[in-house]
Amino acid sequence: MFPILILLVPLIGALTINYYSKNERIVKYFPLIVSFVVSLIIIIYTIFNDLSHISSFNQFITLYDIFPSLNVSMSFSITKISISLLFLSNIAIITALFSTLNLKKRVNEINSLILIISVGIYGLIISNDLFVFFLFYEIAVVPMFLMIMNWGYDLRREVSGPFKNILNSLNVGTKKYGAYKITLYLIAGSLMIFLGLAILGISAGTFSIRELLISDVNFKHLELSFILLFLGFGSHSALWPLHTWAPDGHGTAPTAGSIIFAGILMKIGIIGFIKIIIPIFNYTFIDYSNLLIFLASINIVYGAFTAMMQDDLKYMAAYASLSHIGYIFLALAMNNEVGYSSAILQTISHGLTISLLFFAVGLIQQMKGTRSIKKLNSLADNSPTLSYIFIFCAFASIGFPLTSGFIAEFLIMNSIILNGQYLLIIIPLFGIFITTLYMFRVVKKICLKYVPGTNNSTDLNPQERYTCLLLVIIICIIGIFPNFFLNFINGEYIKITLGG
Amino acid sequence: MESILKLPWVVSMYDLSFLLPEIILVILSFGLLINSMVDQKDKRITNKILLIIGSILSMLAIIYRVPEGVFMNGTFENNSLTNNIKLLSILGTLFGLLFVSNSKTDQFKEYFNEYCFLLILSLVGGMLVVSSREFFTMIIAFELLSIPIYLVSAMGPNSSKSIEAATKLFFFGTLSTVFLIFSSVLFYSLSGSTLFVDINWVSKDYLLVLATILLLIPISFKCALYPFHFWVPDTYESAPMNILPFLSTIPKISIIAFIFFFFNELSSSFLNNKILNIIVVVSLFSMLFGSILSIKQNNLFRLLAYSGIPHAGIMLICSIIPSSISSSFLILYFTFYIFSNIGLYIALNSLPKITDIFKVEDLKGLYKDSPFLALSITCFLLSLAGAPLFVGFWGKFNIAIIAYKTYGLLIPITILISAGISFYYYLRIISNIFSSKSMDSKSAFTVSNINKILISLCVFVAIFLGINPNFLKILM
Repeated sequence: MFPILILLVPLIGALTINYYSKNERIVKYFPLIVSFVVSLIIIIYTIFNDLSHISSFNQFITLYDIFPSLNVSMSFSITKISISLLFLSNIAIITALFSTLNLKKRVNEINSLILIISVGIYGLIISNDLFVFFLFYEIAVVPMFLMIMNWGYDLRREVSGPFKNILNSLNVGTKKYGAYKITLYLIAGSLMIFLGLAILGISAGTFSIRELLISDVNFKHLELSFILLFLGFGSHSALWPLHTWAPDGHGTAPTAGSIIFAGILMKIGIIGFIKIIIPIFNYTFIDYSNLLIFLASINIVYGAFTAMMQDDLKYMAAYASLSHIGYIFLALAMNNEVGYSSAILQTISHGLTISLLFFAVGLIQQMKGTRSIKKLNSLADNSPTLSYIFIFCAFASIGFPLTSGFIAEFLIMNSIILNGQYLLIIIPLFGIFITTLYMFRVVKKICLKYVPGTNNSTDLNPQERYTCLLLVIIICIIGIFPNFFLNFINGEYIKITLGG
Repeated sequence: MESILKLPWVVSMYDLSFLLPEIILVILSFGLLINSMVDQKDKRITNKILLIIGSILSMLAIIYRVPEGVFMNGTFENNSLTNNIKLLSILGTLFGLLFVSNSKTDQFKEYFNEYCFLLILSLVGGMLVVSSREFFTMIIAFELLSIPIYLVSAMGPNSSKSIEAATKLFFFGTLSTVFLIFSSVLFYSLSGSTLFVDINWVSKDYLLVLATILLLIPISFKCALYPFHFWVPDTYESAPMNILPFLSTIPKISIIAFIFFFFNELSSSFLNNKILNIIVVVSLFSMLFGSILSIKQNNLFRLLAYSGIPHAGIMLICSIIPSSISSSFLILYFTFYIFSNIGLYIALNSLPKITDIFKVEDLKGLYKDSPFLALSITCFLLSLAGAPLFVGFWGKFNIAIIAYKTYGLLIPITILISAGISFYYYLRIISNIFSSKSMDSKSAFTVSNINKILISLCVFVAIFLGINPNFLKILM
């Protein structure tokens, strides 16, 4: 019942707001109500399924068989990890919906696209079948394309470098370029994932993740499948050589699109790692973990350095999120329990922080009319609340104590030490150092620097203030009481790696 | 009464019961022809009633009356698979013809009965192709399938253009029939019999390979497979647009089904790898070429024509995979292809100002003017591209999986590449539909009720089977 409910409720919401597309209030507020209903469903489900029995919280639901001859069935599994990821994506969806409130035209369409994406994400998180996983995974692609194509920003960039002639002829920075680039990238990644899943499912004779975990198939000789999945999921979470879609996608997408990208879509690859690669290919993953450490380190350092060079706030945020994704992969590559739970914690923390950051950047662009760091100034004098929010974002992404990022990054370093690779700890430390540099530079330039004669005092309206407050509170709660959350996912790593 | 039943002619009639659906359809087609001659006020209603009654009768005949087995000394076979394919093609034709008889454009004002007559004869040809197990029957059925199409495609709105396209189609079509006859002669010289069963696939004779290649020429011509696809865009562009729902589906389906039965013995035990390789190459090239050629197309109908080529390639691959696993997936793909295509063409033809030079950009802002048409067209396009939650996803990707099981990695990779490219050009249409510009057409969007019902049925099939594709298997 639970999976049907959380998949159907957003879908019904999407249909309803298209039916009442003339009524502005329904179009703007009904999707929000729908998303809050979904979070209520998740909370009620979590409460009624007795969390105190840690080992028993693992439910499998099979609705119907899709292809009995191939052992494909519409089945779902709900674990603690999926509950926590559901929470994260629900909050990101709510933030995205809040960001569409100040749109003037075609609100019903963008809101229904967001709700359709949320269906795909929820289904992906709770799926227990490789095929169903892929099915929900692909749902988000087309709405994303339409969202950038119709609501995106056209800010053509002049490119320098070895390929500047080709890139300039493609109009880098326009929404058409961004939309096609991101869609084709995601489709190419998903084709690799499909091949990998097909090879895995056919060689094992079943597509159910649970049966794959229990079965004694030797996954060691399925390295081709592993590599395909690694590349596919890696390209979805912007792992280093496959990351180039992320900045362009973020830069051209509307605010809601950026929030969904950074908050959820980039997490799809990590969910794939958590749900499929690490449990099923446990031994192969250990063999390849050095490669993953190498790529993740490049992500951290390269992302941070590139973010420092940016003039466009959105591109800066995009590269910052690239750098933070690197921490998650670093933690996953450690192969121990602390690393696993800190990866999930960092996933959630990064999702919340980056949603807030993109929300703030969207508000800055909407109020000041520009995203260029050079042109922005005296934010603290003209719009104090917005400036406080932005400064909070900067601290949260550095990983300041009392925010969730601190706990996550601390645990990641802890897991590196537990794994015995003491030298490796330099990389996250270095990443944090550079993050501090560029975040403080931006804060100093756009918030604290006062230029006389720029009296454009507009500030947040109540709705925007409450949205920001919601995210700030959640980030601080995870930062102050991390044990509540850590106890919640405690023991999942052992359960996953041992099967079942 | 009993004495009458024992009379020789009654007995022979009774023996023909394996042909009952085809006979009903032939009677129906002549009934339509008579309807066009009878002087009466509203021929459209009679036409529709006749169409519905005839098709339902023949479908009921397939479901309840047709005996299964081999008839007429092995020339004709009915089994559950042929029955399902016939059911599907009758249903598809019914949809397409109801649309034809409903359309009010100039060239259909008076001649809709004749169109229906010709297309039903073509359908009968397609059904005979599916069931034929012998070369003579097959050649006659092939001709019955294609001659009405030559005639109909010459009756387009822009007469000089459509006559050019029809002439092209006619000349190359007859030429391909020559190859068909030549290949059957070669097969006969090898086996000494015209039955398909007697072909000795194991033999190392090069004549066998030559005969197969010669057989593949007319087949790939009629399904628009890679080297013989050149007629498709011209014909689609200039043929009367209202017959496109029929033209783009039924001939392809019946001939692919024929290949499935023809190569059944060969493919289920891999008797001759040379021939299988040739077919695989044809289908791989169709997938790649079709999708690459569609990228640059700007005319909507030419784009859709080119985008049908990869679909034919995927079906061809499915038809040479051992039947024990592929048959249900072939049916699924047929269902998907018939309903998505027919729905798409009906929806496109319901637009005002639709002409043969309709550009992709002309669809701009359709969502603002008519959400129903825009959403249904999007639905069909996504289904054809193979997006999940639509039946096309299961169709394409199941074939990729069973092809991986039998032939290895090359085919699924090609299928996925062509699916990836197809996403690009289908998304181009979709992005135009949802762009914020208005279509600025003064004529109102009035979709007649019958078209609305037909489109909604097709959307329902695409989405329902997308959520639960196993339902089709239960149904069959």
